[in-house]
Amino acid sequence: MSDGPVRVTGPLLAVLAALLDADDNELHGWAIMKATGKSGPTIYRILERLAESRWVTSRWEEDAEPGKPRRRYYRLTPHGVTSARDLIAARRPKPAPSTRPRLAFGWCEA
Amino acid sequence: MNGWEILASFIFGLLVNEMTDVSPWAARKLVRWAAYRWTPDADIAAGYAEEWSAIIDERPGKLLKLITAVQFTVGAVGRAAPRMLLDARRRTKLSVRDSRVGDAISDIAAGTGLGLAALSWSGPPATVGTVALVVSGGVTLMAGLRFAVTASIRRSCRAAVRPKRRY
Repeated sequence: MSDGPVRVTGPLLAVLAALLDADDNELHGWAIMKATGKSGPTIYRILERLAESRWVTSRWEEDAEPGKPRRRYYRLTPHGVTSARDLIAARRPKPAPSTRPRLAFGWCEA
Repeated sequence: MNGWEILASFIFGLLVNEMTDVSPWAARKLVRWAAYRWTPDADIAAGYAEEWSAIIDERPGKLLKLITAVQFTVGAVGRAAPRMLLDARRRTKLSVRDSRVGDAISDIAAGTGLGLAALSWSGPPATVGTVALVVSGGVTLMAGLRFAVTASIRRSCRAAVRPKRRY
């Protein structure tokens, strides 16, 4: 079992964030596409990588209407949830240093 | 607006209407095709075909369904292209190997024929050893001829491809 997806990209972080924000950490393909605004092939390439790393599991829709194609739901595993949280926290941009000039007493001119 | 323009706009309207009606069906066909290009595993591809068809059903708008299907198709073709190229290269290598085997067989056949013709022309009945010697000589001669001709063709091809020196 590999530790995680090898390449950490913007779309990967977006997919992880969408899954973390979802109820029960579970979404179907179209919902992930809508939440991230990324195209289908991009999303499915990422989902394959996440599934290979065991960060995500999938299941088929159970109450689909007969004759209609079923949706597949993707859920973060417990390991995936903690790893995704760590990854997103590590990649979150650090707050920019304050741009307000610090004035030393006696050095500023009015 | 003359009569032809009215007719053209009527036909164009009909065509656009028909195209938009056909696009969901075309989108479903496209994603199925794309799913089987996405992965060589038929079972996984069948899963993707169903899942992507569900996405197409959920996508609002007839033309948007088609656009989504085209996105999946472009992605799948991009993914399948290196695999298809590798397959084609492997097939070409196989065919080259096959042609070499074919060349060897034809050399042996032609050489045997040449040897037997030489024996029948020389007249008196020959021993088995003489037949074998003459036939093997014929095969060697044919193979040598083929090698010489092929080498000269290759040399001339290389000379034609090589860029000319500029002084």
